[in-house]
Amino acid sequence: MKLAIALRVLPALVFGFALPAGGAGGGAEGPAPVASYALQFSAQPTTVVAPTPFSVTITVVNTTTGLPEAPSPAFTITLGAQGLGGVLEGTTSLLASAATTTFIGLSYTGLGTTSLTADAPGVTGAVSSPIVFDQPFPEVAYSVSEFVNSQFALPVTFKSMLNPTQTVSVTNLRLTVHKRAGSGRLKSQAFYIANGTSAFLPKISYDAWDTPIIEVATPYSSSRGSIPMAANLTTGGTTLFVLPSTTQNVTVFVRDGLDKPLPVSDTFSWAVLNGPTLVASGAVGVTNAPSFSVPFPALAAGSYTFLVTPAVGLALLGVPVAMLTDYPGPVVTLRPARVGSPYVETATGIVSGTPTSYTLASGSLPAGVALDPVTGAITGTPTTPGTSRCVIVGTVAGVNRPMRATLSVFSAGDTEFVAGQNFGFAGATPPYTLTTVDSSVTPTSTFDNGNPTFQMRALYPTQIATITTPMPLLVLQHGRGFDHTEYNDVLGRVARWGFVCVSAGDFYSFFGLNEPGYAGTQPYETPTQFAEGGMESASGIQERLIRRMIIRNRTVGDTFFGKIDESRIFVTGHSRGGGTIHAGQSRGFNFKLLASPPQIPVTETTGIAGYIGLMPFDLWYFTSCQPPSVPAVPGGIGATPYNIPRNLRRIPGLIFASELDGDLIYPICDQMIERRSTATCFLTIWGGNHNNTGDAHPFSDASTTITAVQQRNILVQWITAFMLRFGYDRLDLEGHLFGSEHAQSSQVGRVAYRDVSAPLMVLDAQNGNVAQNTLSLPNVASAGITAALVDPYPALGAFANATARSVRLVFTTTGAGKTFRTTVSSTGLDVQAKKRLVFEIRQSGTTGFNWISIDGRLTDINGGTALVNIYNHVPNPDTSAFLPIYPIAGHTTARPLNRFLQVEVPLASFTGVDLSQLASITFEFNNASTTSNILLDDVRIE
Amino acid sequence: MSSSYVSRHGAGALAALAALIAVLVAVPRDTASTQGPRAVVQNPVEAPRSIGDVPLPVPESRVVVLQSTPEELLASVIAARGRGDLAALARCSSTSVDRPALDQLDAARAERDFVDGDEIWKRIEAAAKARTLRVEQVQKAVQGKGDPIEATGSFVVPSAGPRSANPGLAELQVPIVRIRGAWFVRVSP
Repeated sequence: MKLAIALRVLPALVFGFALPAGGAGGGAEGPAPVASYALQFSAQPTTVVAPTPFSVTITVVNTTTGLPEAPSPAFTITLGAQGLGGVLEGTTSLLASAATTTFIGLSYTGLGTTSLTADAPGVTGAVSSPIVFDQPFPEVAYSVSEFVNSQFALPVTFKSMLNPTQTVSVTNLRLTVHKRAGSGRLKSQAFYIANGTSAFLPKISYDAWDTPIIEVATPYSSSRGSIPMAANLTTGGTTLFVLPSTTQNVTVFVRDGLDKPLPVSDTFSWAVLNGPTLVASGAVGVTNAPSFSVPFPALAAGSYTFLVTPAVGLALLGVPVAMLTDYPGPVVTLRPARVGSPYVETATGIVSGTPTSYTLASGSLPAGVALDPVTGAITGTPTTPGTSRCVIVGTVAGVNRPMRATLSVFSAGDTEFVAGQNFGFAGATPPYTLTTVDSSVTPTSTFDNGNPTFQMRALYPTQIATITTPMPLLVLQHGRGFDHTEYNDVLGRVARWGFVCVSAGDFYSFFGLNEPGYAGTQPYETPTQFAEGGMESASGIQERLIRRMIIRNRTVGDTFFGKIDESRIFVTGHSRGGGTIHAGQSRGFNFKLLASPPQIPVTETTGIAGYIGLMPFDLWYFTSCQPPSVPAVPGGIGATPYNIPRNLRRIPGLIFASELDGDLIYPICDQMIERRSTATCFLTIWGGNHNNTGDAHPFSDASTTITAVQQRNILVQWITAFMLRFGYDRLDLEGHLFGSEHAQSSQVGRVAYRDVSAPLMVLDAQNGNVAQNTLSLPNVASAGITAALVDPYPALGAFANATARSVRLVFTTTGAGKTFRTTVSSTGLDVQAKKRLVFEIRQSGTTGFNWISIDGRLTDINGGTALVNIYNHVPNPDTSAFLPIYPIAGHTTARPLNRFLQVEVPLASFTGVDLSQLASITFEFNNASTTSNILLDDVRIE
Repeated sequence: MSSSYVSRHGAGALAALAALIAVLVAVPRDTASTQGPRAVVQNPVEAPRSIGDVPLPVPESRVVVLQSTPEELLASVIAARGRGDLAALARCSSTSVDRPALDQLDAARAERDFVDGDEIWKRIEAAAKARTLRVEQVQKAVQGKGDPIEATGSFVVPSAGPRSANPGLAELQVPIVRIRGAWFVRVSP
C-alpha cells in the first residue's frame, strides 16, 4: 500500500512595508473641515483568518477639546493597509457624519502582521494596532486507496498558514477538488464551508485504475495527495471451486467499485499456496480486458489459497480453493420460468447423496430468483427474461458435488416465441456447409471393459476453424441391424446448423466379439441373452466416445480444440440405440478424465444436457440391469446389477415414434414421456416407420403416406429446433417445441410438457386412485359414465413393466350430459398467472373422435362457469375446435388415432369464470356411445 | 374347468390351427434368476376399481375358449381376433374366478391388448405359421392376486436377425400363466 503525501503549497510572504511618517495616507479626498480633527482606531481585530470578514471602528476626535465629535462638515474616511502586498477589500471609504464610523465586511488578502490606516482630507490620520492576517490551509487525510468509480469522501482540517500546527476556524470558505495527474476523470462538486475548523468533502469519484494526484484547494492555498485506485478481483464467489488432478482455466473478473466489469491493462501474478507453501505460480498479461484466465494447475485434492496481484495497479485476490470431485457434475435444465409468475424449483435430487447445504459457486440465477442454502429450493418471482447458467454445489458429508444448471426466463406473454422457423424442409438455409471425417477408435467400455476397435464418423461445419462459439455435441448410437454410416442425412443436415455430430460404429454391444475378426459368443442379443446388457454396453462405449471428444476439445492443435461446449453434450440413438441413451441416463455419465477406468456409481448423475430418442427402445422393459456372465470382467462395472430408475433425468428430451411401428417401439416411447422429469417433447411421425430414419436403408419399410425423405425432413426439423433451443439457449424456439404452433400439425402428433414456472398438475392417473386426483381432491363421474384407471397400452410381454395409468371413461348410456369432474380447489385457487389448460386425450376405437362431442368447463368457487368446445362429432372432422385432428393427405382409410393427443386451450378462452378462485375442471360428453370409450390423462394448468 | 371351454363348433378348426404351431418347449428353468427383480406398479388396495355408474355387463362369447395348453390358448386368441370377439379375448386373459362376469371395462381391456396391439399379434401369428414361434414354460408356483399361478411361460418370436429384412425387430416375448390348469395371456390391469 502507498501512503498519501500531502503537499503544502505556501504563497510567498512579503513583510517590511514601512508606514509613512506622519501616518497620512494618500487617496482620501473631500472638503477640508472647519475644525481640527484627528482619527483614532477605536475598535479593531487582532487576528483575522481569511476569508472571514472583519470590521473596524474609527472615532473622530476634536483635537481642540480632545473629545469625540461629529465632524462638521462631514468628511470621508478612507481605510488602507500597510505593506504585505495584500489588497484590502470591501467598503473602505465612508462619509463620517458622526463621531464614530464602523467599516464592516472588510477582508484582506495579505498574509502576515500589519496595520491598517485611516485617512481623511485635512484630518490627522491614524494607524491601527498590528493585526495578524492569516489564511486557512486545507490539511487533507488522503485515502490509502479507493475503488475505481466508487464514491469516497475526503476529511479536511483547516490549519493556519502562519502557524501550521494551529487549527483555525473559517467562515464562508469555498473549496474545490481537482485532478492534477492521472489518466481518468475526477468527479466532484464545489464545497462551501459556512463556518468551522474542519469539513468532510463527500461524493468524489475517479474512473481509472491508476494513482491520480488529487488537489483540494481554497482561494489561498491547496493540498495535494495521491490516491491509489483499486479494482476488485473475483472468481465469482467467496470460494473458488476447481477440480483436482486436472489443469483448467480459472476466470478472474476485474470489477470496479460499482461491481461492473472494468477493462484493465496490467500483468497479474498468481500463486497457489498450500498453507504457507507456494505450490504453483505464474503471470498473465492483460490488455484492456475486464477478465482473464489463469491456468490453474492440476493438483491433488487438498486445501489451498489462490492469490492474484497485479504488477502496477492496485488489486488483490485471495480466495480459499475448494477441490470438487473429479468431474464437473451433472447438467440440469431447471424448469423454465415466466416473468411475474411465482417460480418453484429445487436443486435436490440431482447429485448423489443428500446435500446438507447448497452454494451458488459460479454464475448467477435470474434476477428475482434465489437459492436456499439449506433446502436447495430455488424460488422467487423472476423480473427479467433471459437465460442464466450457473454452478450449484451441493455438499454431502463435506464433499462438494457440483451441478451445472441452466434456467431460462420467458416474458410474461411468451413474446420470445418465433413461429414458422424452417430447419429441415425445402428452403431451409443452414449457415454452414458439412465436413464428414471417419476415424478409427478403440474405446474401453465403462460397462464391461471391452475394448473393440471400430469406426467413428464425425460430421461438423466445414467452417469450424472460424467458429468462435463452442458448439454443442451430439453423439448417436445406431440401431440394431443398421450401420453408423446410415445416418448421414439426418446428422449431416443437423450439423450444418452449428453442431458437432458423432456416430459410433459400435458393433460390439450388439454382437460381442463374435463379429468377424473376433472370437466369442453373442452376449447381448436377446432378452435372455442380456439385451439390456447390450444397451448398457453401448452406453459404456458412448460414454468413452464422449470423453474422447472432450479430450480432443482440450487438445491444442486438434480440429475440435475449443470447439465443443462441454456443458452441452447431447446423446441420441435409434431403436436399440435409443435404449443406449436411456441406459446412459440410468448409469450416469460423469465424464471423469482420469486415466484409470472409473468405477461409476449407479447413483451418480449424468453429465449430458439432453437426449433425443429416435424410435427408442425403452429400457424400462427390463426394470433392472443384469450384468453379463460372458464376458465377465472381475470388478468391472457390469458385475453389479442395479435397478433402472423409473424417472428419466432432469434433462430435456425429444422422443420420436413412428406411427407404423407396431411392436418394438409403439407404445413404449409414449410411456417414456410419462416418466419425464423436465421439459420433454414426444412426437409421433404420422405415416412414419422405423427403418426410414436411416439413409436409404435397404430394408426400409414401405409407407403409404410419407416418403423416407419426408420422414427425415421432419427429424431434421425437430432435432435442430431442440438442439438450438437447449444447446444454444434459443428461447425463440420454445414455442416450436412446447407451444401451440404445431398443435394441429399434419406431420406429427405432439405431446409436450413444457413444465414452465410452477405448473399445476391436477390429474395424473399415475397416482393410482380414480376417486382422487393428483391434488388428493375428488374426481366425480356423473350418471351414464364409468371412470376407471387402466394402463392405456397393450400390456403384453415385458412391456407390462412400464406400467402406465390413465383414466378410462366408459359410457353406460348413450346421448348427452355425461360429465367427469376433477376438483382443483375446495376454497378457490388463483390461476390468473397461468396461460393454458392442457390435457391428453385418446379414444379407444379405430375411427377417430367422430362419434362424440367434448366440452371443457371451468367453474369457480362462486359458481361462475365457462364452457369451451373441445370437439364436435359433426362436422367430421371438426377443424374449428381444439382437438388436434392431424389430417394427412394420402390416408384413404380411417386413422387409427389410438395414441394420445394433446389439447391446449388458452385460459383466456374461458370467459365468465373467475380465474382467481378456480374450483374445478369438468369434461362434458355428448352423443356418447356404449361401445367406445375415452382415455384421459395429465390434466394440467400451465 | 378347462373342459367346460370345449367348443362344440370351433374345436376342430382350433385343433388344426394349433397343429400348425411349431412348439419348442424349453427346458424348464428359473428365468427370474437372470432377469432380476421386477418392479410392478399396483393400485392402492383402498382405491376403487371405478367410480360413477357400474359398467354395463358384456355377455360371454358363444364360442368356448380352448386353453388347456399354450398352443390351444394361442389358437383361441388368433381365432377370436379374427371374429372380433372381445368377450372371448377377455377370457383369454382373465379367469372366471377373477372376473365372474364380464363388463365394459373387460371388453375395453381386451380391445387394448388384442386389437390395439395388432402388430404384436401379427408377428406372433406370422411366426406360428413360419414355425419359428417358441413356447417357453417354467413350472413355478406363484401366488397371484386371487388366483394361484401354477406355471409361467412365454410366446417367443425370435428376433429377425441383424441382416434380415426387418432388422429393427427384436425378440418378442408375450408372457402366459397357467391357473387351475388353464393358460392365460398375462396382461397388466
